[in-house]
Amino acid sequence: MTDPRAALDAALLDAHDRSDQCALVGLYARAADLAEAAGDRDAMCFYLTQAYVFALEVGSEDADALHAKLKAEGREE
Amino acid sequence: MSVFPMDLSHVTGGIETARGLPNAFYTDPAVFELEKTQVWARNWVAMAFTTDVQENGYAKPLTFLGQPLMLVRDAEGTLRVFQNICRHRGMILVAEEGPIKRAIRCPYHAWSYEMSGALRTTPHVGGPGNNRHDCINRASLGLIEVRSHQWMGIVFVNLDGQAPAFEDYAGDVLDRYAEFDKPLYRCGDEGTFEMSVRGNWKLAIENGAESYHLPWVHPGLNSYSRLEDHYHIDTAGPTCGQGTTVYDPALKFPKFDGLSEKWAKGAEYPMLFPNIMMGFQNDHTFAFIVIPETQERSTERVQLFYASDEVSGDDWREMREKNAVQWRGVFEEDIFVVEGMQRGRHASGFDGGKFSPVMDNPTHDFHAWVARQMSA
Repeated sequence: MTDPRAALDAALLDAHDRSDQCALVGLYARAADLAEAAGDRDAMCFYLTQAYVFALEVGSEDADALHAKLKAEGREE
Repeated sequence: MSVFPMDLSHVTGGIETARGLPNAFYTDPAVFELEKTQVWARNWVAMAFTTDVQENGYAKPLTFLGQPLMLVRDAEGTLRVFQNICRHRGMILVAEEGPIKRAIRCPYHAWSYEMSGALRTTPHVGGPGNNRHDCINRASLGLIEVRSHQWMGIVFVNLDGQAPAFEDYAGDVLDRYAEFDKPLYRCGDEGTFEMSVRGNWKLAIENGAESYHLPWVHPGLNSYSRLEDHYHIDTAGPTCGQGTTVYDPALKFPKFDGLSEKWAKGAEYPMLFPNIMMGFQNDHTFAFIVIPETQERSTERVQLFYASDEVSGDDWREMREKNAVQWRGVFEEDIFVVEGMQRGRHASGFDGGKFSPVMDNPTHDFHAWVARQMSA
């Protein structure tokens, strides 16, 4: 059975290789969810930040929600 | 004390006894460097056309006098000029022109800016997953905006931010051509073109300013716009140029509404120092921007503007193309004199040249203006 974390890492690398920022928003958000489930708050905020930056770049409507979540964690202005 | 280590009083004196600018102004890289501060940074200079960025949410990088700049038109259509660098490490932000969705992300550490220039986020600046730090004041770290002004489809910049307001700097020109300050239409790609010239930027302006050369370099004009039909434009501002009283083109485009009688047969071709020549005619205008590349090489960018959007249509395509070819031909006829004078400036015996007190007044005005800028 495929390790979900390994599959996600592979998908992230692939999306970076293709400069597919839209995909990166969703993939990093999923990575943040996994980190949150594992109770790793710093890792969650790292991945949320990655998702947020790419969301800003592509004009994703997810940007505001990602920003709000980071701000609630005290990690964003 | 003069900034320039050479007495230029022989350039700024009366035209009867004056000489032109010395050879070093055309051949010496040190003079070219000094011009960047004395001429280019502290005046309003033409840098681009507003239609270089036509879409909202779009950025276009360009290099101007060696500086990396970018034109950014935001989602609401406001056009701004920024230095094309991230405030973090000075990385070039935009390498190629293209659409901007919401933010400009630095490709290095991903500091991201809104199209207004505001710094939106600084990822991991306070450590992994922490985008804040007390020492990072985003309000003070926005993109560096270059003071700019748009007029007649042209983007002017004042690089040092210290020049008088554009309306004051170019007041004489704005007043003289106020009748043309109305919507202008680019109408097709053929009316925008550029030429690379092996000549100092000043030579293109000097050549455009005077009508003395017309019968020799543009003999086609002799049949309908003779030398005696031309006059000098003489104003107190940073301008000079020439006009004609017999403008009657074979190609008939729609005319601007509401022009005064002067423009029924009149046309004028003023320079706005340092680097733009404009054409004002009752049916179309043009802008001819000279962009210095080195002391011995320039790029000339031209755009034609029509009085009516109607000219954009296919019905007008053939005439638009003929008009663009005609203008390009005129400008290309001038290249050999610009390049010839550039080569001539390497002759050690050339003393800047002797002016005709009757025919070379615009050239003298421009040389004297440059000399004053360099001496101030």
